[in-house]
Amino acid sequence: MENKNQPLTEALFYILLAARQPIHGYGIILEVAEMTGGRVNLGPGTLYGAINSLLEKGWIVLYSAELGSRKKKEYVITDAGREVFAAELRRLRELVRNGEKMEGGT
Amino acid sequence: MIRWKFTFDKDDEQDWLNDYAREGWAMVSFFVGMVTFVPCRPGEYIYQIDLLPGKGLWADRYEDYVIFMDEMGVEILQRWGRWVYLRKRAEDGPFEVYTDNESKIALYRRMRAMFLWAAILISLCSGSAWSMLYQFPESMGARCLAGLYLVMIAAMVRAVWHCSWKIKELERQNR
Repeated sequence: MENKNQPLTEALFYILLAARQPIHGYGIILEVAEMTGGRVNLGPGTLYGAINSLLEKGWIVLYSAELGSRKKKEYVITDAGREVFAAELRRLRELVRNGEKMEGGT
Repeated sequence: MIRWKFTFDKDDEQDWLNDYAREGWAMVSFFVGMVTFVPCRPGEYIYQIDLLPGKGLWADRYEDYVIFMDEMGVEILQRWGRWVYLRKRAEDGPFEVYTDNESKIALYRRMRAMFLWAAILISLCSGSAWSMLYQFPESMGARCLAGLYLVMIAAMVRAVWHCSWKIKELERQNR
């Protein structure tokens, strides 16, 4: 189980990113595939598990779901989710910054 | 047509269903090892097997899962406890329920916990069979019952071992 200090999995990272505005499940799959040029294709089981895990952690919330209608459930990132995402981005920037030392040979 | 297949190996069963689909036979239902197929265009469907989140034999929030899969264009053909048979039309693109190692590991952990639970439950239930065998060692009925329990326990232990092996493999790939 991930906590705030652990790196995010690629799936969680991209789901949080896709949920910066309200989005339904299939929309997440399409947007993530588009952002990564088709490299990351989330399977429905992977997405289902990730969404439930993010909902439990309070990193995303249900934005809309009309009971009894065919309207799809939409999800949106929370403040806690944005904090986790920002921390992960800082970690990744540090990785890239340090990684570039290799190219510079210093 | 009807074929018999009873296995606790998800990957083996999934491959078997996809082999038939490639040959033009689409699985439509499953009942205690009896699998019914109807003709389809060769390669029309891709099959996947999933284990619903839950405890023991019972699934959690199955309704949510059904709605979610429906939104994804995935057809749920059959549910057997927590074991579900899914399919999608091949023309809609590749279909894999779990696409990263983390979610695959989580799936095999769920499966392992379920088989372990079943193994313990069957072992507990087998108590009466052992005492019967002890009391009537010559009885064919007692021997058969004890044998049946042994086969079931062995099948569950094998399934647990198989899941552990899969988890280890996936974790090794992650390193």
